[in-house]
Amino acid sequence: MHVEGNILIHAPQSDVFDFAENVELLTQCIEGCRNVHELGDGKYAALLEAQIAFLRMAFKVTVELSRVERPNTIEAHIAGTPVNLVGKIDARAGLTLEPAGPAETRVTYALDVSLAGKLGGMGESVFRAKAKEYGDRFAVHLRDAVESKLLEKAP
Amino acid sequence: MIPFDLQEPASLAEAIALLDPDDPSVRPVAGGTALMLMMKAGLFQPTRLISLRRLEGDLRRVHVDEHGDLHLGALVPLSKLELSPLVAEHAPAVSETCRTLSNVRVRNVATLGGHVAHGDPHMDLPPLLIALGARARAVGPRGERWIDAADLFVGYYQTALERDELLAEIVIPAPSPDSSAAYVKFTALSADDWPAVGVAAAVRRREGVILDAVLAVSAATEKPIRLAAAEAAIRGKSTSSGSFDEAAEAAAHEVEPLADIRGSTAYKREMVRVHVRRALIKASHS
Amino acid sequence: MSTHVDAPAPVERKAPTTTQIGRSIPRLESRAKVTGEAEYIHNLRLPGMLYGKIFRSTVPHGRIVRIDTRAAKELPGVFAVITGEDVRALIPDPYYGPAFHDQPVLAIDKVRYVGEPVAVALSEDPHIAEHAANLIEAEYEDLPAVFDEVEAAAATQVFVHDALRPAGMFPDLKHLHGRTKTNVALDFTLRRNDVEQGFAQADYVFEHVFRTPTVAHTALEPIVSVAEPRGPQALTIHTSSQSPSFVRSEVARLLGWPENRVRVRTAFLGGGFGAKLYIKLEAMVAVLALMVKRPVKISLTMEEQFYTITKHATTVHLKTGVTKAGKITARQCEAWWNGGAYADIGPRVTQKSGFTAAGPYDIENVALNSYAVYTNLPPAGALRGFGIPQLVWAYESHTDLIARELEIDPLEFRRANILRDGRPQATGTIMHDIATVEVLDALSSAMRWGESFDRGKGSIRRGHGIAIGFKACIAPTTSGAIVNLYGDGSCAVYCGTVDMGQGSDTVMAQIAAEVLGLDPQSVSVIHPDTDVTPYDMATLGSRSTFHMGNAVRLAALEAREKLFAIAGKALEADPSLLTVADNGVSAPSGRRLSIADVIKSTFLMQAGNIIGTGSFRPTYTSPSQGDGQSDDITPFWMVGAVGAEVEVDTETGRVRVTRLVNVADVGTPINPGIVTRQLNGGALMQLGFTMSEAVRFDNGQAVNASLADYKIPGILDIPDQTLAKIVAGCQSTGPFGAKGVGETGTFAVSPAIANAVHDAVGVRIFDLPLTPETVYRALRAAQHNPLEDQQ
Repeated sequence: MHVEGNILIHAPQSDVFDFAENVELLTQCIEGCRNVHELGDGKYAALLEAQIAFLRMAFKVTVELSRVERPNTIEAHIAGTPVNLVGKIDARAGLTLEPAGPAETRVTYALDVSLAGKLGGMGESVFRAKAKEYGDRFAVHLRDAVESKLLEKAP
Repeated sequence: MIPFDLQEPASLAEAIALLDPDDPSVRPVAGGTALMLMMKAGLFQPTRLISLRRLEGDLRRVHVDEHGDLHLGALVPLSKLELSPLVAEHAPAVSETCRTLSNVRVRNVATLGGHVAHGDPHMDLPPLLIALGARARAVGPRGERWIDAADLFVGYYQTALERDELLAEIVIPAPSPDSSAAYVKFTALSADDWPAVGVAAAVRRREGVILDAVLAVSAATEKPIRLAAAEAAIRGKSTSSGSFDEAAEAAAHEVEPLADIRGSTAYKREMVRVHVRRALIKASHS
Repeated sequence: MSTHVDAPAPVERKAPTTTQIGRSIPRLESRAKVTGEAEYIHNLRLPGMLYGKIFRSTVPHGRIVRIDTRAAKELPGVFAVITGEDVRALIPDPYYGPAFHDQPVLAIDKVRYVGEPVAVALSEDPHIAEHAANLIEAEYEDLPAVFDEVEAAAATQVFVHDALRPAGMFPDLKHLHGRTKTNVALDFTLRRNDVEQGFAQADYVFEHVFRTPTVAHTALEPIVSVAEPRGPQALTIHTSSQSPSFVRSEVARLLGWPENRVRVRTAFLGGGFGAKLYIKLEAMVAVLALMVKRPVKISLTMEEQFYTITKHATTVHLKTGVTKAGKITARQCEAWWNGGAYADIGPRVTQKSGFTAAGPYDIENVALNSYAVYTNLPPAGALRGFGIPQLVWAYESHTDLIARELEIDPLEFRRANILRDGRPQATGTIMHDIATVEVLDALSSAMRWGESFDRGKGSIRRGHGIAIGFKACIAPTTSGAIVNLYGDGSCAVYCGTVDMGQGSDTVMAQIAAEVLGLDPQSVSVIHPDTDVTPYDMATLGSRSTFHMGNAVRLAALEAREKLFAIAGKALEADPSLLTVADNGVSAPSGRRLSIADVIKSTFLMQAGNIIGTGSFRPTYTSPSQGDGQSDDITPFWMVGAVGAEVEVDTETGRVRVTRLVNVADVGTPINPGIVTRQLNGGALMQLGFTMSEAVRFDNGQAVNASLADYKIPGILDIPDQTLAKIVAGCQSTGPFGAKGVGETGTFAVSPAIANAVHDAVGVRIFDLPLTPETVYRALRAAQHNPLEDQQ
């Protein structure tokens, strides 16, 4: 499944880029992503707890930046397995940064997610419905985090 | 399936006390037709289920009050709604909708409360309840409150009910003599498939003019929603089908359908257009 | 003692009495089924039995790096967790399959599709086994995967298997042994005369490509097997199998045992449709039971069936040369069969159905290529029609398009080109006992073809269409049967045919009863048990009534000969002049003895048996390599034609089939009621494959693997009129003139409906299924206003 969306961030492109290429900061913008720790070679492990209404799923995932091209492009690869359920999640997330004004950046996200096992065979429709919501919330969190970081930096 | 705790309280108060506002894996269950599938698939792994099967009284009753409002208890099975003479008289569109809602085995077991509170956008009655201006009575530890059907559905599998609240009844207000309603559903695969698009329309009309209309769409969208632009487009217009086209066009523009195996976003948008028109025709000719 | 016959079957000594043939008696098991007494393996529980739950691959193609079973093993109540490496310790080469030995009992080294069995958790409690399976973790090194059959056939980098491993049972696969760097498991070629010359003679040449998706069998009783060790050296396998004899020999081969140490038995099947053929769970439960020394049962869920066996997705490219007058001069066909990760019976489908890919037409020049292709999808095998419905979809859609272009009535176009009795088929085999012309005539009258037709109005447009298909019965195969008369004159038929709902018990009882003068309702049919019932190739491909029917008839004839020999003494009459009727034997003198009294006359009390055996194997000439020619390709042909009337909602694209007429050549029907229901059942199953069914994959994962999202027809989808018309013919080599019928109803359904849609709204659908969106998009494209997908 593929979802995409975009958001306007009141911050210069380089600040947004600095933030987004930091996996530990970036993953804070993903809801339910915790216990992020570096495994080496730019790879990180994390626990992703997704709550879809009353359905709660936990995934053990690895996150790595598969492409980093300043100033426009950051791509991450997130792969993992659900806890206590046979399955697999494989997501490729791309961020495209474009200047939208003197201190404004338009961030477009594109998320390609494939699910296998029970999640893919039975839960696909609800995940598909929720992916867009997750993506949009990620974008909002990213904007808020970048903008508040900028405020901290401001004298 | 992993073992879980099953409670079978004998009263509504007892049932509410067993709910846990902080734990989504504690869940009430009535007919269980939807929840059991999720459990068998391992998607939902409850720690505790609160079965409502021992609850009696108004929860299982269909009646009309002194104002002519139709009260439907949350534990009324869908087959009882389908066959109830009271429902047929006061809300004929509900009876008709129930006839093609799932199959007779499911209708005998599934309840109105479960059908609504499950929050699955593919259910047939929610858009009709919105169109009919229905209200839901929710009961929780802090007492009871009323929720308009239009505000009840907040997302995929999500309703405005708190985790420690239970749905007690749905009330459909007495219809005015100049009003009528209809629900049309479109299934993309087999006839008994989940709908790809469901549209409900309730219109009030006088002398060939639509005074107002409530339109709601489900299944194509992540939750049942009112079609405000389409409603505005039809208000004050004649009941000729030409004016329905404008409402249908407005509806197609205001929805954001989700793509799935039953159809792409673009196709479902077209089907919203077609079925808004068909629902309006059906409602204004019933 | 045994009567072994190479067809044709022997001429009867006496003119047949036909009191039981052509009678629509009720099914023998009806009462047991509606009261819940009928036996199904699903209900079997044995003392000490363990339940197995399968842990399945989540990647379409990957090298197994690590399987961690520790957490699963530590779960209280778990008896064992077994992986492919454990299996290899017991069996060094644990690969099975009917055509290729390519499928491991549990994945070894590599996984080749999402859903492939990787490990099994065992427990006395099925819920604990399931929980344990969820605790198993596997790490895979992802490999690039191929999903499309045409791409996979042409692939130069990605190969599902390192080398081909033909089973060696089929001589025409031997040359493939050890072939590497290919996903093409079998490449079947047929050449008849010169197709290029045929195109040169044509006034017009038409080319089209048609596709069908992966679909599923969805038998209501999912696949289930139980293995019961009888000490370390013998096994009983209770299984919902359509092919118990094959299971016995293949499990014995895997274990390196003689066949007589493996006993395989079945009960009633809750539907099979080809899903329960060859090895499904049997090798797995057999190995597990021997390892843990306990009975082991594995029952699949409906979802798991989607990961176990499917029907081939196909791409079929057709090219036809035709004269202005409407005579087909040449036809070329290339068919790619998406076999998934393991060959199963796919290579047989490719060849056995492939040689009919030019259709039931009399065409001078034919070139056919048919490719069995490995991909990283669940394995595909047999499904009610053995590839024929996919081919008929292509050639009958194509044929209709040609007739339309030439402005010739589609029925007349077919009639002008139809393959008639006595003419050679593309393999060179002369057609016998094939009622193609009669079937077209019956279709024409059933459809009131040529009469005025209501075209509908407003947004509802009506159309009608026809199609015809044919199929050869699989060859060479063998069936054996025993007919046993007990001391009291009652009778049992021992046969390996599996009654999976098609009514074979009833038909076999009617055949035996007919020969022995019995009431068929009183005959008991012993269900397949390889320790008891003789060999039968399998219950598949519409072969049982013909093959097993002949074997039962021969066995009953032999029993009758013995009965007459005894009765001749008791009745003081020439045995050759005796007759049977109403449970007794009569002499020309008028003297009569009950069968019980005849037997008593020789055993002197109610004791003993009279046993007849029969074995039937028709003749066969295998097609020659290179050109696929054979003078005897099949024991009989099946012909099925369909007419459809449809309503198309032009605003939604939804198609409603209002009338579906199936016309079939079934030889002489033994039980016309069962035959009619078989035809209608087949037609309605294919209606699902036409209108709504398709397994949808996302990176190899089936995303609609449930009956909630994979929609088979419901009662409201059944056409207002669903008719089956039997064209009574005679299969001269069949038992009492009968031929097979289990698949005939499926052949022509899909193209008849698509042709009717074309007739109604002028658009052609090339890819199944005809979902509303597919039809709607075609309508919009035809209006030069294609539906745009904006982001």
